[in-house]
Amino acid sequence: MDKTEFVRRVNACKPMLYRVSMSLLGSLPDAEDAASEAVLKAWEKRDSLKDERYFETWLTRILINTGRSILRRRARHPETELHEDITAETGEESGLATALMRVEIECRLPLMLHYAEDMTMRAIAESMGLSEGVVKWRIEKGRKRLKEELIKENGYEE
Amino acid sequence: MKNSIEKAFGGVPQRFSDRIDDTLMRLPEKKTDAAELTERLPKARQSAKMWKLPLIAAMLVLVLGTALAVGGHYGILDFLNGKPDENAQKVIAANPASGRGNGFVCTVREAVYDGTLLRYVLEVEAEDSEHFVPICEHNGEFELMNGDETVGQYAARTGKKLLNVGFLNPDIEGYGVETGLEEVKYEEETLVLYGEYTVPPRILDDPIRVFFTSTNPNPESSAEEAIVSFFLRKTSEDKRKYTVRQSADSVIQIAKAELIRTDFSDYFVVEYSLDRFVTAAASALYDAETTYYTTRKGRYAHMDEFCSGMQGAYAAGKAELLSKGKLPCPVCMGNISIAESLYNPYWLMDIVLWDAPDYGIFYHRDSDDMLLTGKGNFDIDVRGSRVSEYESEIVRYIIMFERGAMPEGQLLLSAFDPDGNRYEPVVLE
Repeated sequence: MDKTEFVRRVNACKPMLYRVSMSLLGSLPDAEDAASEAVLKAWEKRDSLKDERYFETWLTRILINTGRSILRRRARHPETELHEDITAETGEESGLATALMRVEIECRLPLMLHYAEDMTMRAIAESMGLSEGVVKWRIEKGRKRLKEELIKENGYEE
Repeated sequence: MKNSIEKAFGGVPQRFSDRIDDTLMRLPEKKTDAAELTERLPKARQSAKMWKLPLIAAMLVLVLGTALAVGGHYGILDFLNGKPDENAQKVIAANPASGRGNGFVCTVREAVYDGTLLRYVLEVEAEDSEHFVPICEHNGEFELMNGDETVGQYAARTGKKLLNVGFLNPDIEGYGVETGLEEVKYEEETLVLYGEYTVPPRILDDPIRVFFTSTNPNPESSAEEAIVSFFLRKTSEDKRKYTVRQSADSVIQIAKAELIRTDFSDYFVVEYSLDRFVTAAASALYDAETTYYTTRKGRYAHMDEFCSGMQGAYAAGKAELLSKGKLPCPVCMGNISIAESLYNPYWLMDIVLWDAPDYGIFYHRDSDDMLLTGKGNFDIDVRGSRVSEYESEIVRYIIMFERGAMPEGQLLLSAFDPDGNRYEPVVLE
């Protein structure tokens, strides 16, 4: 893949990079770091991409790994509260963002990948190194947890 | 749901977009020095080098030579929260049973009882599925059908009527038990109910009869109740111990590996130590010319002599730190604890199974290109895993599979870091 094509594909993935890194990390500065690092890694490893049709899924996988690394760096510190950036920049859906960030990460990420990124169960399973059964279960669980948090947040009902 | 979640974080902020643009503008034409160096290093050194980037987690990958597909409706394992229940290795399995009444057909898919807790999965279908769709209230709400559609919306769209199945209360030979319906799901128009019931402990030697009786949702109706009964029986257990072949310098030291097959599921149990992995990584992190600080009883070595808990600290060199097994401080030497990373069950949960039949060799793993080959996909459904005793030197890892899914034959276990660098595998036969 040449540089022009790589840039074009990454630009098309910006919304995904933003949503996935935010749902992983909950902080705009960290999301920027993760996305930027993931793009660089993808560029470095572009030769390993044997089928360009899977570029987006491949980049998602790299982003998830990078985000996990950042989470590990944070692991020794107290749980970061939802960054004020979320409520400041997400407008009317801020209640949903807050509720979403309260859903445990193991459920939040597959939920986001499935509903916002339209990824199949299999693609999510492969991206996260899980079985499809576990992914399905986590999405179900995530949906329930999100609903609970939305009700707590503002009495939202589906 | 989709629209809401998609918009949860709003549109891409300008500063985020600018940061990506900036990154794209700075893409190096050639691979970076670090990347080139990494490629030239032998595998063991590569992995050691990765420890310098605080990105380390240990992963074990089991590599299999046979592809197996596991199909699936929801079973008990789908509801176990991703964790295998060790008691399930002693379960009593149920024969499938079915019953009719109140306009629906109820079938026991799976039921297990470990002497204290009965778990079961029931499927409920409308007897007249052309005109009815079953519905069950759980925690004051009704489950969605597939996608975002409520069952009410589905019924309206398809012109079908709702059939409330009421509750299905199990009874073990006269022991009425409290209701404990845990989850309700739909598979197309089939309602799947999962319940857990605590019942008085029973001796498991003799078969135990279980009844499920539905309540009639309409007391004015004369419809008959649905009764499903079946016998629980003791499961068989087949245990196979693997012979371990590992080289003297292998970073994984396998203490024990075995495969346990029950009527309920397969369990792969492995006990191992990664001490050598830690030592190798720690060795790569210390510089022979730098002075570090440690305490006599402390677990960590520090760059900063005033780091927390450093009363009585003294200066020490690389050789001394390694000989005393001191690990790099997670605070002042990279914000990560090697020990915690290695023994942290969260990261060890990343165990995956691989099948690489087209490669002629058993292992195939790159954390970034696993989707790209079209081969080497794992087809064995890992139903759950649990790490225990991870704070001691020996880690016990249990992986649970669908019954019969774990193949016979040779296995290879390898330790990988998050960048896919592989250490010498251990062969299990």
